[in-house]
Amino acid sequence: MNFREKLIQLRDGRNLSQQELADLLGVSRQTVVRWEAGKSVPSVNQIPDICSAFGVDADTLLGISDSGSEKPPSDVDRENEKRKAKQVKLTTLIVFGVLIAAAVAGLIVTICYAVKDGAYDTSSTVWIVSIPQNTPMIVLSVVLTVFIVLLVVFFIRIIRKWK
Amino acid sequence: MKKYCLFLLCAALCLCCILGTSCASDGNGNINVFLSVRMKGNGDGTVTAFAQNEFALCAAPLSVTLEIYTSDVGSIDFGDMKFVDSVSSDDLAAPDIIMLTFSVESESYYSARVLYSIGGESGELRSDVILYGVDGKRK
Repeated sequence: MNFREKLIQLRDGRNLSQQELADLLGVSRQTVVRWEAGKSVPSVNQIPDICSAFGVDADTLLGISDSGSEKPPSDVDRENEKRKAKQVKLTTLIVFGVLIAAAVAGLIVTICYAVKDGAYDTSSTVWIVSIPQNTPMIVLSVVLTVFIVLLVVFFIRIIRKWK
Repeated sequence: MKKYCLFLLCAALCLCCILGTSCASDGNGNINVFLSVRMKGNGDGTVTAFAQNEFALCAAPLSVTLEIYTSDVGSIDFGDMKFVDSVSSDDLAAPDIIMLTFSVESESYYSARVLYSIGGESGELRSDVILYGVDGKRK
């Protein structure tokens, strides 16, 4: 892809008119028209301005490297948003699915138990529960573990954002 | 999504480790047992009492004695009632049942009692006092 084609692609990717690009670069619209028609090329002094206007390096602009031929950021953003929305939807579905399954299982067990009790003349139950001495420390360990995991996840996210 | 799954997996592993360490095999860990006592007239002049370990988690051996008492006046105090019969189990593991069938000689009130002992903790569980006829049916 030569300079002419690259310039058209970059300008279209950012939804800029020839006039808008010309204003951005401080040149006339005819200059931009001539560049895109391949009738002239920008001067060495104008290259850095064009590069900074599109956020690409000179190699990309001049067609030496093809990294600028990626999809426009707006499309990428849209795809990322779609993917994220899909993930959130899937997570929500899984969480609700597990909760509903647990609730249904609980209901079935309760109904079975009620039916079983109904077959007897009398029924009494007791729940024998005792906890060891170290239970408060175990509970604290669980809480601290969850807290540490959350902090680590948060820390990793911050580091990634900085990078 | 992978991150969330990894996080959930780590949390589940932590919980399992903690639960595992708290469930001591020598019976000094958590005790979580659901015990029941029931009675049912068989309609043939007999009544059967049941004691069942319904559910147990990290449980030590559960020692159980099922006793039957009778009374003509419907007393709720076992001291005023007459002992009929009993059956025992040194370790009633879930979901095992012990049962005791007895004949109804005359129309009387009957009640079952379970004496249990687990992990150094003892207690009792009583059924309601039920009036049974000689046909073994609840009146």
